[in-house]
Amino acid sequence: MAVPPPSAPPCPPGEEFELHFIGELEFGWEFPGLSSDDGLFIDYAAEAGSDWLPIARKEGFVGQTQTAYADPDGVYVFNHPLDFHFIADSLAGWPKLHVQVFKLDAAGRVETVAYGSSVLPNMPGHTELTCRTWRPLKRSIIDEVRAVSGVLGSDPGALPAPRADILNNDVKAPEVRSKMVTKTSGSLCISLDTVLRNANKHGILLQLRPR
Amino acid sequence: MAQPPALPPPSPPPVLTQEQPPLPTAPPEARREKPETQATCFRMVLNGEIEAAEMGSGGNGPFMCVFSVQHGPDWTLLTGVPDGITQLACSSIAATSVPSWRGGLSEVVWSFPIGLVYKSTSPFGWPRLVVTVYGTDLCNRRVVKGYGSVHVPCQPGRHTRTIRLYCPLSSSPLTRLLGALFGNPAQLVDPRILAGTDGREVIRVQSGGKVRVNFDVLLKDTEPFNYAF
Repeated sequence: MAVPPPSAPPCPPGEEFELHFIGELEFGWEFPGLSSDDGLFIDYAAEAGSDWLPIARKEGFVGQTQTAYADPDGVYVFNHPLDFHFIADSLAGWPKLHVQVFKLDAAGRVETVAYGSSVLPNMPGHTELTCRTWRPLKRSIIDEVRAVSGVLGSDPGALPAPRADILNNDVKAPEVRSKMVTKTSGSLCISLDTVLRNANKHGILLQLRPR
Repeated sequence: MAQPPALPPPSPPPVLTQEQPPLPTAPPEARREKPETQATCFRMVLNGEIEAAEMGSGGNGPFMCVFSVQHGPDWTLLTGVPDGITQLACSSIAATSVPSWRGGLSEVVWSFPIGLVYKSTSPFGWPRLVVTVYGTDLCNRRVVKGYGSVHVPCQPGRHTRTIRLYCPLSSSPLTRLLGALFGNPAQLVDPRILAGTDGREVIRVQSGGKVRVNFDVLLKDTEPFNYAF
């Protein structure tokens, strides 16, 4: 009665389960092996299941931050505003934030430094997410040395399958991730406020938190 | 205020007063107006202050903060001034000598108040505070020391946020040198783009500096919308 059946269009208009994620991709730190001439920028995408409809952005919530150069503490400030609005027909496939960190060096070359993914919070409130990132290692030492030394045409961060498939560990790429060898890279701080709408009408239990 | 003189004419017909007793009586009228609008939009009362900054290697001042609060298309500002300019503030001791961040004398304190009331129908486009910190260079010219932005917290209550700042970089070393010589370093034409995502990918920035902001958020009439904040 209170919980609508999960099939096709159960919700009267105005009673859909809506989510807002409002916040910032704040900064990154502890990225190894960068010189002071190297800037970082992030390509991000909010990936959600097929029943999740991004509102106000037809192409989905994707974007690229500014290129940041480190302060004396090694902090790269991106300060990129995030404002995601979803309508969900199903709770399966909760949105994740996929990030790919790129390096822009003094010669103007762009290469991948790290990948990361973080599931977005599912309870209302303020969350400071820390997204740890990693970089794929090459299969052989020679390739690895070539990649790190920045020989032209060798991208150290090339993935063997599409990014979204690997970060989601999709069925399309089940064997790929188990064959990868990776190395720890830096961390990203993401500050998010989560707002849910009509959660109680859909029978979703909200966590009680002290105010 | 204009209501009491206008009231006597409607009150003589007794039928009208019986049907709608609350409307013609003068004092509760202002209160009665609200419930009609409550189903269509909620309100957000934002109080707060731009408290202090630590500019790190940027020196101990004087610094000035120019701010504005930006919001999305669904939002309407009801009262308050959404932008302002603080005083020029100096810190008490040089920033490098005391490493402590919270509450030190090395901070530049503005304590500049913000008081705004918004109404909206959707949290999408939640207001964001955009700050620009100006300082002075060696020749006492006003130059940009940092930009930053943060969203106003969505939960009611008191929140403290630290905005990390950054400065745009010139596209070439020559323009950087000329900018430093003539007191005209790279700056954003319109800092309000920092509240959005468009065009951010073409900017290169040098990180450095922090601004601390206190927010006191009050939400009203959100019940019909069934939001969980």
